Amino acid sequence: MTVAADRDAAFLAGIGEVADAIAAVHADDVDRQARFPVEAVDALRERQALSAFVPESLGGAGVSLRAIAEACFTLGRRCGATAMVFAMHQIQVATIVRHLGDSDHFEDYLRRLVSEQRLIASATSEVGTGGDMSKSVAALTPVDGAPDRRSFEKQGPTVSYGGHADDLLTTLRAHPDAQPGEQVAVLHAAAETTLEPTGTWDPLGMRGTCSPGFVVRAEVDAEQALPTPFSTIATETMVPISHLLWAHVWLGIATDAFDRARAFVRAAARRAPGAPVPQAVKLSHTLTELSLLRATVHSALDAFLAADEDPECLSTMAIALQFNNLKLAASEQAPRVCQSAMAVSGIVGFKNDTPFSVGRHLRDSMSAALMVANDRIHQTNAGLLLIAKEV
Amino acid sequence: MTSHASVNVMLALEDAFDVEFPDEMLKRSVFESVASITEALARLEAQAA
Repeated sequence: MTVAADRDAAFLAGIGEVADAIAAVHADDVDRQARFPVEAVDALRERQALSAFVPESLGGAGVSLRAIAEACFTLGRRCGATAMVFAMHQIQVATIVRHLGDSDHFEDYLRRLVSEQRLIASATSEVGTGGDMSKSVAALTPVDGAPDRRSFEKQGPTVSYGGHADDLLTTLRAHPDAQPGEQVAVLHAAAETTLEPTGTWDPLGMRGTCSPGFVVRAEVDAEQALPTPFSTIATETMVPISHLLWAHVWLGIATDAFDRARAFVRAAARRAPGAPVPQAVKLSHTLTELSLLRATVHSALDAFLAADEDPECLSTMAIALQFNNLKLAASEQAPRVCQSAMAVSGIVGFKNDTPFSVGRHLRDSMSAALMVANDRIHQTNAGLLLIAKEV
Repeated sequence: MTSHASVNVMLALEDAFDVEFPDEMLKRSVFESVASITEALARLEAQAA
């Protein structure tokens, strides 16, 4: 094996332990209480998993994006909320790693991320933008009498694990006169931020992500804004990698729903050897749905890694369409798999306290369609389809 | 880039110059300025000639 492959394998072995020994144990309680999966996130910290994607030159493990995606899948099979928190954190890490330019500030930050295992949340959505992340209302504003200081106040309708993060990555207009689309991403510590909750958190699924609304206020140094314009960050990294990692989480959730349905069918077959198990045919249908999801997710990862050799390629409309479509297809398919799994095991799948329960899976997977609303993505694609040639 | 406005500009250019932008040209850097659009059109016309 190569050094890189060894590194990925060691990382994934640690993730597997966290998933099976910790995330799985607390998943139901996290879901029931709508509480942050603190045990699993602490265990990820202990294994230095929060800095896994930081390059070795800055002290990180330098694991591949493929391994990060696989980790999202592995965690997703045991606790959807843990997996989604991990995925969102890795999206912010990837954003910094890929777009820090020659900023000493952000190099230092990544070293601290390694030594302190800091958890990064994001405040990218905003009240008043209609869910369009490529526009901001709040602006990074000069502070009187302090030429290097900036302040802002942003109304975040959902800030996932905002109350549990060490840092936040917040999108803002670059300055008070900037157009809505002229954005920067600012990284600020929770310790220098005021988070004023604006709502409660009692949702249908993904309850452990603890994503209520907040008013986010902070005063920061000018150098805390990433040097790359957010429009470039979004196109080359945040949108495609979000869709990839989220989709791996959803695939993990759907795969566990399938596994539970299969365990139910096997138990039924063992109880009456030789007798036909009517649910086995339903299970076969579930596998067909799961295979579609798996193929969609895996092929998108291969396509991204191929395109990633060339940032210019990542900025084409054809690629934008492809990764938007990944999100749409995977977010619609994952709940279908979970629902199909529930139909296999019937009432014992429907009940919340059996080894075959898939209620949490179904509810968690239903959040997929609204993490960036599918209708908004369809609208974007509708425009792109007018002009893109090869789809 | 993903806004309706830029898509409309691309459609109008394809119509006016009777060309088709291939996918590799449909990206922000090509449509960020009048100069880059002019250059892209010149390249397409040279290919067609």
